[in-house]
Amino acid sequence: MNLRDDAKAFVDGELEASRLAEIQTAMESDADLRGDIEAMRALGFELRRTAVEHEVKGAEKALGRFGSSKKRNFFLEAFVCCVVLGVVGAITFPVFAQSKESAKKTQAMTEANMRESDSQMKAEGGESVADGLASGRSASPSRSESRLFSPGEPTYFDDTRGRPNVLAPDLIRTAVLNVLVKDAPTAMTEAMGIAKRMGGYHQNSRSTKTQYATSISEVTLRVPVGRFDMSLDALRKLGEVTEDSSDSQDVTAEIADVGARLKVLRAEEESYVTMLRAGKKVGEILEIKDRLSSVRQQIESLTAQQKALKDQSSYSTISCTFNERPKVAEVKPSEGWTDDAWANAVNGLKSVGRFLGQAVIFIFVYSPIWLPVLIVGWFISRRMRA
Amino acid sequence: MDNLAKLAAQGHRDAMRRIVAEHYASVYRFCARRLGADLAEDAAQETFIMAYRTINRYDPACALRSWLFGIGLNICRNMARKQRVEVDIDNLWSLESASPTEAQIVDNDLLRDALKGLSPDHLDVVILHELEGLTYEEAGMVLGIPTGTVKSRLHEAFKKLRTAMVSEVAK
Repeated sequence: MNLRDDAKAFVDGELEASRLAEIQTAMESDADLRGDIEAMRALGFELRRTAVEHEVKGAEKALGRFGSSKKRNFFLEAFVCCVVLGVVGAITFPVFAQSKESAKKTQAMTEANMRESDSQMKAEGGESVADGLASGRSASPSRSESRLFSPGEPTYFDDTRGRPNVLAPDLIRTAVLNVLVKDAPTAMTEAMGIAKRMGGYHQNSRSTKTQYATSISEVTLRVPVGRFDMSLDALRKLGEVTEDSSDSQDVTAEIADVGARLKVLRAEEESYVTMLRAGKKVGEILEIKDRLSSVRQQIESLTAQQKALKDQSSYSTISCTFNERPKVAEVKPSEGWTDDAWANAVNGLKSVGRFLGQAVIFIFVYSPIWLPVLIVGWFISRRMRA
Repeated sequence: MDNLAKLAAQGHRDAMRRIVAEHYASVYRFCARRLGADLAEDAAQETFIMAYRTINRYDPACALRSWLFGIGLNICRNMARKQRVEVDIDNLWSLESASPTEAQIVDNDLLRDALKGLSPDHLDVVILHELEGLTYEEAGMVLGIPTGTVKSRLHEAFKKLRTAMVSEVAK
């Protein structure tokens, strides 16, 4: 086979080692072959460089088509449901009265057991995890809980089963919580404690005093996405919730897209590096270097984007604002009716004095109006008497 | 990835969602290049629906992306036939403006004319290898042809492009 027929495969690295060596040897002496290979390389480079990158549309719609449930066979499921209902009905109907009786017994036994275990826990000085979280004291978690909250290790678990959910969508979950509390800085400290116990951390915090002598504390918490709902529940228990909103954004497709783009860009980077090594003309080398640096910039930007998305989807953000209840001025109880009467009289005298003072000032200020009228009146009355 | 395909074949929609999330962008772009942006979304959706229906027949020896491209290619061809759409070079390459620096390597106007002269078979291998980044073997799987045929078609396509450009310059 003619060596030139393999020029394109040589450029693409799709040749066997022996054929590759053969062409490399031939290239040293055959200038035409070298020209062919250079032309193929330049052409391929240009085709890849000028490829149109269409903006992707409809990813959400496509994801929505595959809801999170198993593939269903409607007729089979309907048939199985009918059979199960029939069997259950046939068994339970005749013995319904008996079952009811035994259910009551079971319930009574369960309640007795719960009471017993509760008193046992109290005797040991423990408390339930949820209560502990709400009160801000360190709860004594169960063995499985303590395994989940291993220190320094981010936890990402399925809420319902407590095991990693590899197929769960990547969600960015955020919540805003406004809580009315007695003491805002203390509530903020408790909130930070909750985040820490949930395997998260506080991103930033701020406390300010208002003109009414109350405090406002704001804190941004980051908690593992699997513990988001539990954290919110615990935070809600810190006071009276005045605003509660949450939002989630599915970024599964975005993360996958960024990953795919990175893969393509890294392959492109590799091919540029190979071309740079083989390049001979200065202009060509400079051009390739230019594009290589542009590709590397894109890779860096996408890597940062990927990292940010992963961080946002593995740790949810909760913005909490703790407002203190407005403090009502304290009224001291009166010591007796005489004191009240004295205080009222003094206050009354002050008011009369204030009124008289104001009247004198008014009379003085308006004197240019009333004084000439008074003088003229006095003069006329005097003439008339005369 | 094989695990995901296996799970999807067992009816796990979550696994299929993962596959969609991983490959939707590349399948969409593949369809957009063949049909244009207007029809690409429908074609990409159709590709994944078809993939879900036929995932039992997926052979793990073949890369999942290539398998999806194979389905996408058939759907694009059917849609193109029904809608009377032809592969448009402008959906594949943006060759309108060529700055002086770019022209030092290849003249874009010449390349555009040369690409228009390629046969559909040649264009297919060029798209799959150069634009989608598939290897010769993967491109062969998508098109249902041997690897050797991909190699020779690609070589011929590049030779034709070069000849067309050189003859244009000679005029």
